[in-house]
Amino acid sequence: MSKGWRVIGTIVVILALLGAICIGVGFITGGDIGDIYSTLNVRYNLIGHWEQYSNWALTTLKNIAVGVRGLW
Amino acid sequence: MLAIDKLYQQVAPKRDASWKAPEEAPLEINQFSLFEDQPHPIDESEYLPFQIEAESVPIGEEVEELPVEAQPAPPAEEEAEKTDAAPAEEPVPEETEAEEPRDLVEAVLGAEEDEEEEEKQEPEEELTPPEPKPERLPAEEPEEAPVVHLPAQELRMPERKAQTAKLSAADYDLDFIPETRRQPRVLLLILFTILAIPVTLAGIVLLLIPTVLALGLAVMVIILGSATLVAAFSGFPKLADLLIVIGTSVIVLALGLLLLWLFVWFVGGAIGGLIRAVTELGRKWCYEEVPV
Repeated sequence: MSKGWRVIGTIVVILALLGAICIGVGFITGGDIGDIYSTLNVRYNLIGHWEQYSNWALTTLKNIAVGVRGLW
Repeated sequence: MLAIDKLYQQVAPKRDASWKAPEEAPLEINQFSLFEDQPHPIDESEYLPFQIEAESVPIGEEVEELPVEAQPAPPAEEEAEKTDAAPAEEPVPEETEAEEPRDLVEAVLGAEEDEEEEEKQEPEEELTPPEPKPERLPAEEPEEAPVVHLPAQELRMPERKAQTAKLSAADYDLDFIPETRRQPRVLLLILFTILAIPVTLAGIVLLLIPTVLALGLAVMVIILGSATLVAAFSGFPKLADLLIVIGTSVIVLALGLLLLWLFVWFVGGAIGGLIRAVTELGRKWCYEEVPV
């Protein structure tokens, strides 16, 4: 298990460093978070999906609360 | 040269018949042997003069003086004293008979004395260097060893066999090794089983919670990272934005890999380790070693 931790840790650290380098190079060369968000929103409808999932979570929590009150 | 060969062949049977095995040579107490343990390191400088003497002998005379070489320890002066003191120990007839072929060869080859002298002078010049090389000693000792030291080895082998026999009888007696077998303590085993099973199950359930959480998070994070990586190639206008999205997806995938390994560790390391530890504890407490 210790060897597995060592191998997995090494892979994770390498991937994290690689991702950090990519992000840094992207920001240095003129990347913008607003442009990325707008592009993904246009293509995948992020706002719509977010509202849909948030409504589902709120409805589920309300139902659980009503059930707990009924049991109480 | 052909005449030399004929004479040598005529004389060789006489010499072989007169030659005696070195077993009859007297054995000294401090004789060096390769086959015995050496309590003190050998000083190679003690053997240098004898080595030089052995090298100074011509090739044709080496075979004749083999019995004399069977005693490498005493120098030439001591050998002369020993022959005066104890003539029965020295193989005297061997030397007298062995010198006959040398005289015959010299008589026949009188015309070729000049050439022989030149040949003898060359090895003498080579074999009497001002400073002998000690590096040649270890290389030439094994050649002399079988002729010189076989009697000593034969004489000392019974002692070593007796020593090994004593060791095998005293130290390697298999009767002293006790044979045991494991016998369970039944009552304690039942009690331990009754207590250990619920405790182990509770521990497993407690450990299953973070295990399932780690698995769920790992699956979600890996899906999110894969989706981000796919989205990165979906059509960003700038390469800088593409690099940012790829970097983010790589970090998310690394986090998912870590969570997945955490799940594997919970299953194989934590839960499996708990079961193994409880089993080992029961084996330690509820069993005892009983001699057969």
